[in-house]
Amino acid sequence: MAGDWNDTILSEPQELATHTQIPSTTTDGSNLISFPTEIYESILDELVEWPETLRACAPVSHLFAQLAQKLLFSCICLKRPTRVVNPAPGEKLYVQPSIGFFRVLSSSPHLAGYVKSLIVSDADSFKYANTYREHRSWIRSSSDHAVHQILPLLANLEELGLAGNTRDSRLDFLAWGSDLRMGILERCSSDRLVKIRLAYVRNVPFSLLVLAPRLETLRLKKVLFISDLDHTTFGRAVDLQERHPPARLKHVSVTSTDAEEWSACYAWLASHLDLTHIKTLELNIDFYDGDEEMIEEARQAILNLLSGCSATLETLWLFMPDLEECRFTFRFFMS
Amino acid sequence: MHPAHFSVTLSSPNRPRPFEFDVRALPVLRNLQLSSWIWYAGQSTGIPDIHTTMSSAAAAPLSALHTLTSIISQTLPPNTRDEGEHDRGSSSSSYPPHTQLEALTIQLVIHDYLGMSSSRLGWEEFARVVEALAAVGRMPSESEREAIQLDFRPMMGWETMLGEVYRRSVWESVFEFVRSGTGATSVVVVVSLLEKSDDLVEGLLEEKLGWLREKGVGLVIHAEE
Repeated sequence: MAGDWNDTILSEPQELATHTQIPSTTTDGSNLISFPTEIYESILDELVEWPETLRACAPVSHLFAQLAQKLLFSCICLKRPTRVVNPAPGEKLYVQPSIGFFRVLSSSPHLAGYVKSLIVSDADSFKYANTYREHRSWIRSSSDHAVHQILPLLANLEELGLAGNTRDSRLDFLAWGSDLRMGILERCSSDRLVKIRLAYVRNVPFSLLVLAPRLETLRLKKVLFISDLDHTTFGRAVDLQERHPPARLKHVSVTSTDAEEWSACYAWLASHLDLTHIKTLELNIDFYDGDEEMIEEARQAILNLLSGCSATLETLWLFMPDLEECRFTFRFFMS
Repeated sequence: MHPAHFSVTLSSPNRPRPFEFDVRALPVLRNLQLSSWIWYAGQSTGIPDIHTTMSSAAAAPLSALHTLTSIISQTLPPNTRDEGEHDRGSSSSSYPPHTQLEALTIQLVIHDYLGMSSSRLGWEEFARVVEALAAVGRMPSESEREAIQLDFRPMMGWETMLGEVYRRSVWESVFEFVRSGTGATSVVVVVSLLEKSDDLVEGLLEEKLGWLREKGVGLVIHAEE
């Protein structure tokens, strides 16, 4: 039964006419009440937070299967492998989501077109805090070759996210395999990509952010960027001068506790992206690290960003940095 | 467009410049959310020592508070601003308020990172901050402003000094500020705890949080498991 169910979930639906009433028959031969496709879409859209319900809807009809698949596969988060508790003899010790997902896409290629958002995450729950080590991250593991094979399949991807762990050091982008880095680069070059999310990642080449011509949303949380003007990061030249006009950002979120990192990030963003049409701005910049000069530069960067998008800014979330406290703390450590 | 810099500065001239920006220079701004630490176990001295931190985590972030009061004064509706305007003598009177703002949310963040110091979980600082914000809402007289300025000094044992009656009047000020704000104004208190403990919440914290709930203050409790 489970096999049949999964087959329905993953199978390629028959070609369906849109904007027509779909009486169709259900998989058990009974008639389905006729409603326009849009009605069914609206109903199933309401179920996006309940994947189990969507899975249950999929076997109803080919139409339902297609609609459910689109929702179920629209947002994919590839997490770190999990250990199987008390595995049966012959059973694998680990479940590797990335490899499993790649197999699904290999057997049902049409599903790749439904993926709008992909997050590659090394985050874990708090209980593993003491055991996490970045250098053992599954993303850089030589045994995982799935992610870079998945990325080229996702032709309709609109959002790409890389999430590290709050414990230990940030994910080291440069430590990843060249195939994976190239795969990310290619996705970020897509004219469909509109959203990039990076969290707890270091050594990320700045050029990654300017390759998507339609990029609208940028969410950065404790990201350390590097300049890659020598184009060595990806193994081939990345001509930033060809990117005209620069992408016009509408939603920006930045979290940083390092004045120098924030200042460098802002300076680079301002010179390569259009920051003058931002509608939603979330700045969580706290200056734990940095000397007085850096803090002043970082403060000015915030004001410049606000000033630059003042004509379009509709929503502002601003953490108020405690400049006096920063200076005090810095003086303490310097003494 | 209005000049880029304007603030109601409660700091003395020799203090570092507060973080300033002009809300009125953002003509289409509809939703403004401001967040600031008012108490953070481990922040005040930068000394990574539990016992030292517990005894010294009293200073509220002054520059951030000055900015908050500045922005709030800019976003007040005209009828509120008129009260006390005669003795204000500030340059703020030459600017109209930011009347198009639909929502102003202020997050006063208390972070008990160590999870050990809940006996004085920054509530003194919270009271002082809220009082300052409320005072801006009521447009205090010069003499009141002088008192507020004095009150900004880090103080220990605030509750003991001022007593229960005055403390409750501070919570009233919170409510007053909420009502006299920009319509959708709200005050949200974010309490971050290392662990969620029923005993902890049901004890001292519950009492404090209960007062806030009664006053219509939004509460967000972050608990890391």
